[in-house]
Amino acid sequence: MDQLATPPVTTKAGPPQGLGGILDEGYELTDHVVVDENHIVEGNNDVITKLITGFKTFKEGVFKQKPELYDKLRVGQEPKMMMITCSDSRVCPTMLHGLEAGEAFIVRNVANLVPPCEGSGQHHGTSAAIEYAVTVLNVENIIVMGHSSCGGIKALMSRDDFSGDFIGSWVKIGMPAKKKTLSLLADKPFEEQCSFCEQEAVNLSLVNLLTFPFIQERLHSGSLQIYGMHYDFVEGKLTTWRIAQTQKMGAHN
Amino acid sequence: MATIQQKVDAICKSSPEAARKLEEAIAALEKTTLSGDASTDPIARLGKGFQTFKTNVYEKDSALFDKLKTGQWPKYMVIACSDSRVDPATIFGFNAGEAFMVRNVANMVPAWEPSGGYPSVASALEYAVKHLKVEHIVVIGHRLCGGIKALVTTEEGQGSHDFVENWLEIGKAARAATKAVVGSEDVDEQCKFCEKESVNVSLTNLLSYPWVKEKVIGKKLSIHGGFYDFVEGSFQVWDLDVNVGHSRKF
Repeated sequence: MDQLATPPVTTKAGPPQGLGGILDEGYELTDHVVVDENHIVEGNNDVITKLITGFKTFKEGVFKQKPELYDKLRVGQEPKMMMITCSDSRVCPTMLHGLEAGEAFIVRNVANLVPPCEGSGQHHGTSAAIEYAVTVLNVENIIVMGHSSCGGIKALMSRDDFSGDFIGSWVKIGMPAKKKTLSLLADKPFEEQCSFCEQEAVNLSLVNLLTFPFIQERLHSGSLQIYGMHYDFVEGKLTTWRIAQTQKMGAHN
Repeated sequence: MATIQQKVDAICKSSPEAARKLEEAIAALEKTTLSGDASTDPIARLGKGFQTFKTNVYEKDSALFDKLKTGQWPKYMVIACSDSRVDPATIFGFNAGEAFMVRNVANMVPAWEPSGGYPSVASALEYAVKHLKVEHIVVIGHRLCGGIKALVTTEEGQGSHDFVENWLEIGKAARAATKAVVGSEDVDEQCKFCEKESVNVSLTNLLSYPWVKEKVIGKKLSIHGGFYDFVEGSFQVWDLDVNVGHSRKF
């Protein structure tokens, strides 16, 4: 297969580098564009146009208007909170809460689920993000936010068989929430069960957070707080709650 | 030197319009800075932010938000880093309903692996491609990524965390390429290289999902890499093209 020439290393952003042989035959990288103020958006590739136009707006706007903020962010990030929210295109936390750059470390996955702590050695994306936020960035707050009409929760509630695809393997993390929902609302309409499960799955995720030792320690010492939220975009309302310890845990020494 | 109070009085006396503008400015400041709470209590911060969103966006753009009550039809799936400085909605102006988003440490897409584990990215990818039928997937890396720095400076199996380094090993081909090409440069140069190279790894991993590859070949889905540099204030983007090579007759 073609070896891509080794590009020179420069201090400015350069072209995308070679793939070290991982790219399969038949694939290539193309259409590399660097956007600065002078770049003229051309072509009718709508996604590229959208990204570039959006970036130019951002650069001329917020980025230039807040030089002190962005100067500070070049040195590092010190977000006080971590948010775990759904990948749903309607529930962007920065838009919902007007968050500025640097405020929140954000994880987004299907149905804002937190799996329990498990050391099976496989790739655990959400667990890795939580570990990074808590032990490296030392965030002080974790907020798990669920939402109305969640497709992931709907899949959890409507399926009996979770094998055969990735969605099933993922949403079945929420099984305890589904069981609780069905035990309490067995005779209620499906929509009502889903609404209940959206909030119950947030609670389950909060409980799963507590299975991480580095979270338990910090909750115990008071350096970390945990919250649940639910955004109902049908009613236009936000519900929030906190998880607190009711009794002191045994001393860790 | 006039005090703030004297300045306020002067403005209020000067014209009703000026007084009104001052009131608006004060109200905006109160929303974000007063009641000490918002600066220390995250719920107050998020709650006040939500009130602003509800008044200025949700209630104003009722046509859009009414439609979104019934479903979502995003054209884009975006995979970006969880880093607090690199929110794609802020940087690219995505509106509600436009982009299905995954955010994780170092914007990684693991290769297709049909069994076991918690498929945090694969499940989102499956939902976006098979159910929402997005048309474009964009993987966006960024400058000064803490995850990539950890990848570059840690050998396989040498990490001190339970999950972080294991996750970052998804990008090990990028680390190998980095060491091969710029291994003699300083850490920052290696990071710059690896930050983009790991986007390429994620792009190739996307193609390891059969139903992604199929749609890309069928031109129903296109894949793009992006790189946001907030040090320089630049953004670059590139495409991944698929050429179907030799055809065979049976």
